Amino acid sequence: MISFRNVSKSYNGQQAVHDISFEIRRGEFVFMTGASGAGKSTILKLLHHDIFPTSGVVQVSDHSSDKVKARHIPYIRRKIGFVHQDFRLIEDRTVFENVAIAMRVVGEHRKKIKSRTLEVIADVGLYGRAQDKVANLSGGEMQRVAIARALVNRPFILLADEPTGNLDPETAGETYNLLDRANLGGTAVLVATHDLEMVRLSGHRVLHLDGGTIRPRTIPRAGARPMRRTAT
Amino acid sequence: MTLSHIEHVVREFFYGTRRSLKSHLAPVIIMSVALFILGLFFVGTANMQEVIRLAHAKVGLTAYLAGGTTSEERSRLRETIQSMPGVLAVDYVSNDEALQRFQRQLGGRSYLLEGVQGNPLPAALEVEVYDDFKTADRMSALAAAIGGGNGVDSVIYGEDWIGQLERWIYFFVAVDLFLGLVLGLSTLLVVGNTMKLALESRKDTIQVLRLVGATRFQIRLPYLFEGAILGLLASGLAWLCLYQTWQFAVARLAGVLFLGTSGVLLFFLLGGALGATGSMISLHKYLKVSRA
Ligand SMILES: Nc1ncnc2c1ncn2[C@@H]1O[C@H](COP(=O)(O)OP(=O)(O)OP(=O)(O)O)[C@@H](O)[C@H]1O
Ligand SMILES: [Mg+2]
Repeated sequence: MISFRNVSKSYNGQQAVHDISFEIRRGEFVFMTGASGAGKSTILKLLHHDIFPTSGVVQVSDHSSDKVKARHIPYIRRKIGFVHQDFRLIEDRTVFENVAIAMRVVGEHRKKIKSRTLEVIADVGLYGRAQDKVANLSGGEMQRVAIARALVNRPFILLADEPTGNLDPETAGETYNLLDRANLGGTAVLVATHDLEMVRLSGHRVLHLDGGTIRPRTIPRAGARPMRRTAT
Repeated sequence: MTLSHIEHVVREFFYGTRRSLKSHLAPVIIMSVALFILGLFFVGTANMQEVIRLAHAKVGLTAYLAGGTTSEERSRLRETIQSMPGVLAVDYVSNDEALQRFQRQLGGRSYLLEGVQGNPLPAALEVEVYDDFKTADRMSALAAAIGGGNGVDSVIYGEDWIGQLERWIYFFVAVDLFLGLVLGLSTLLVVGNTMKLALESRKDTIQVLRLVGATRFQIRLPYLFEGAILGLLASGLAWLCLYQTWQFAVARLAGVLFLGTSGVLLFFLLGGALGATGSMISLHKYLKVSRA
């Protein structure tokens, strides 16, 4: 469904990721870890077609990055939900409008927009806040609005770039619950994070980046959870 | 393009302008001043051209006949002139008619003629010329041709002011074009700058629209719309001022013309097009991001 084939990306001659190949299958939940500057955000942006590989091919369903036409890119993005660390919300609009905008762009029917938007807002636990201005929300609530917007069009994959970077541990846990629920609904999830503990606890597949390439790294699987607990 | 697509554009337009209402006030006023000045010159030119047209219509040629011309000579001459290129009609004015006309012109002062013996006025052929023939060159050539005819004493036509008229017409059209260009360009700059600020203040919205997969068209259309509306608003203001000015002028000077229906439409079209073009230019300049 999604594949990177020998993808390299340089910014002004400086290589950010180098010869990366991996696949994500339908409905999979994958973590991406690595030190700051390892290339996590770069990979997410490549996937979203915000940037393009210097060499190699990024394939998202039927579209490959080397052949895609500029006018098709928006339609690829409509099938990808993307949650940024800084949320990227329009603060002077309501929660409802921030979520609905993704459906308006697609040209959905007004009734459908209303019902689906309210449904997703309820799913992320913000039902009563639909008509509040985003500027009045807390960080964790904004995060949930961003997730709701990313999910409202039922994308086949949800990308999240350090979704819990700005949140306290409890709120971060709730955020992962939301991502898990989306995944249970059939959406693939790719999360870039520094939160190794969460990665270990989840037992999901991990892509570990080191200096722009994928390195194998031994992370205890789900069954090993108690071991880690006793170790600390 | 479905109804909800249009709804999206209109919605983004309203969300967007709500943020920049205050910063839009100045450009609309500047634009309407520019359009007002331009409109004044258009109306001025239209009036000037009307005056010139009326004057032009009167441009003709009079061939005074030598004394003692026989009616046979006269009709031959008449036929010759009639067959010359550019001649629409030839009228014979006998010396009696000429005298009567003169007396009518003098009106109450016809006593001035009391001491005059007989009729001193010559008979004449009045030559009407096609409008496109009323240029200085063609008229003087025609006058020369007629003047060479048998029995013609002298030929007069408005030699000076035909050339003058031509120069005025060129002058007015040139001034309009120049002014249109200068004001048009500065209006574009003003709108372009306004839209640049608008784009600047709505970066977040544009970023979000890109994120959720809006097409270039969906992102840009609200701004084109906004530019056009600013232009139309400015046209409206300018038109109101023009209209008031015209009312003021007409009260003092009967017969002053105003913009006709097509003129008004053109005026609004010009404003709208200027606004849309200005915003298109800044969209092009500030939203140029690779493949997005
Ligand atoms: N627009 C850019 N121009 C130049 N260099 C860039 C650009 N974006 C990223 N880089 C560089 O590419 C490398 C990878 O950056 P990237 O943002 O992908 O890292 P990251 O793994 O997301 O880091 P972090 O965990 O800090 O977010 C870094 O060295 C970064 O400086
Ligand atoms: Mg990053």
